[in-house]
Amino acid sequence: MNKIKIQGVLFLIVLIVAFFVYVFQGNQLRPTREFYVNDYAQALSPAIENVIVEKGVLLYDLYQDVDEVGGAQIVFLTLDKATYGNSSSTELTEIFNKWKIGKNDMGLLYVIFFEEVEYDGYTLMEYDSIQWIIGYQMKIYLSASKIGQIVDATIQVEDSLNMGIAKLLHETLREITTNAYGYEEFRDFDEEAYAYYFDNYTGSSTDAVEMSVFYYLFSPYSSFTDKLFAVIPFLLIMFMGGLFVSFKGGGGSSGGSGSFRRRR
Amino acid sequence: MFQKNGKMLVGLVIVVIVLVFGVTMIVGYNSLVDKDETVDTKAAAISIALTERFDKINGLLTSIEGLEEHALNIYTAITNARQAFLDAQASGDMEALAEADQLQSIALSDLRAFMLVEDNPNISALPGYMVLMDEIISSEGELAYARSTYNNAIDAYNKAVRRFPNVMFAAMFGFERDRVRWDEVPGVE
Repeated sequence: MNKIKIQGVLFLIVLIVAFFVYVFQGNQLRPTREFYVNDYAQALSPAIENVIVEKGVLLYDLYQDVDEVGGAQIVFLTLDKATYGNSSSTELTEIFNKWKIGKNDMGLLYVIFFEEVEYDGYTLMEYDSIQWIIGYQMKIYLSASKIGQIVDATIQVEDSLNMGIAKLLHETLREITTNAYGYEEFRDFDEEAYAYYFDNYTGSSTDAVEMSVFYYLFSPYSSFTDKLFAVIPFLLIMFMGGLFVSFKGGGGSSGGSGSFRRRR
Repeated sequence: MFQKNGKMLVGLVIVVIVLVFGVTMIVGYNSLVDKDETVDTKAAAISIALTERFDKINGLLTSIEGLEEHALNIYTAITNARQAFLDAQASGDMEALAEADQLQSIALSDLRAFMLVEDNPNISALPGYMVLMDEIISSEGELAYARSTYNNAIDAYNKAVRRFPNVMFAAMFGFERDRVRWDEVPGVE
């Protein structure tokens, strides 16, 4: 009896703490557990999400210990134009700084806006515009105008969003690794390999991890103790944001450098 | 015996009051110094952003072939803005710096308008046009962020100076009251 009471009190405390943390956090955008891809517009395919995360992790792991430069992080954020279309560059810079992208200010944030469109009775998220925010040190190696040139040659001209983003990421990586880390042997973009990969990718979306916890929590198969131990990390992930993330920011900040493009 | 204890108690109370006041004063003074320093740091960030913006525009303008001959009036506006900025920087006057910021912004909007008007359809095709626009937009973004963080620092400072007990120490140590936000500088349109 006492055991159940203690469990009940613990459960209640966690709920109350989570509620207050959630209330005080307001509506600020938080990075997802994957950190490098934050698909709030729900517009990206699992295949391209996987590419972004894999490349992002690799870049950071390879170069985070390089003296004086630090590890670069390229983070993608997608937003619905209807809700966030009027976001100023100052607001996006605040997101960059809250997420602490890049070690030693070697961060880059791509914000892609999508618009909801009706097509043949279906609702689709269509690419509308892209904005980029550059970290204090990153802008030494990659200027706003250089990124503009990369954007113009990739996502702006590609019919396929997957391919456009993959090329954008590839060319951005080439610039960063060459200019910041002196790596000269970056291979050319293999369009055929990427096309094959996108067509045959069978992995699930990153949201599935959270859904499985959610499902387990309310399933009749879990005991009360299981529910209690399942609900704590779930609530922490949902409301406290960032304590249990797989990847996180390197501590970087930005002074608002960057530019934008609207879809042609 | 009772009188002696009473005197000791009074003495103890006085010591406690002096201690509490002293600690409060030290903490309050240090907090005001921190906030004052933050405002100065943010002001310096605006100054750097202004310098960067102007240097960038100046350098890029001359690098765009064919633009110079069409944009002499804008060059003049930029030169005037540069002089106003250098004067303001030398004097350390924040109001003058804000006015120089305004002059630069006006020159910039003139430049952007010039590059977008229908009379100059070939300008957008010039090599370097997009580079120029990206760098200008980037500089504007940096400046907007610097202004925003400066104003946040000013708000925090003004609030701290008005609050009790800091209001006593602010007057005692001559901390300025109601420092002016960047977008509220008198004389700036």
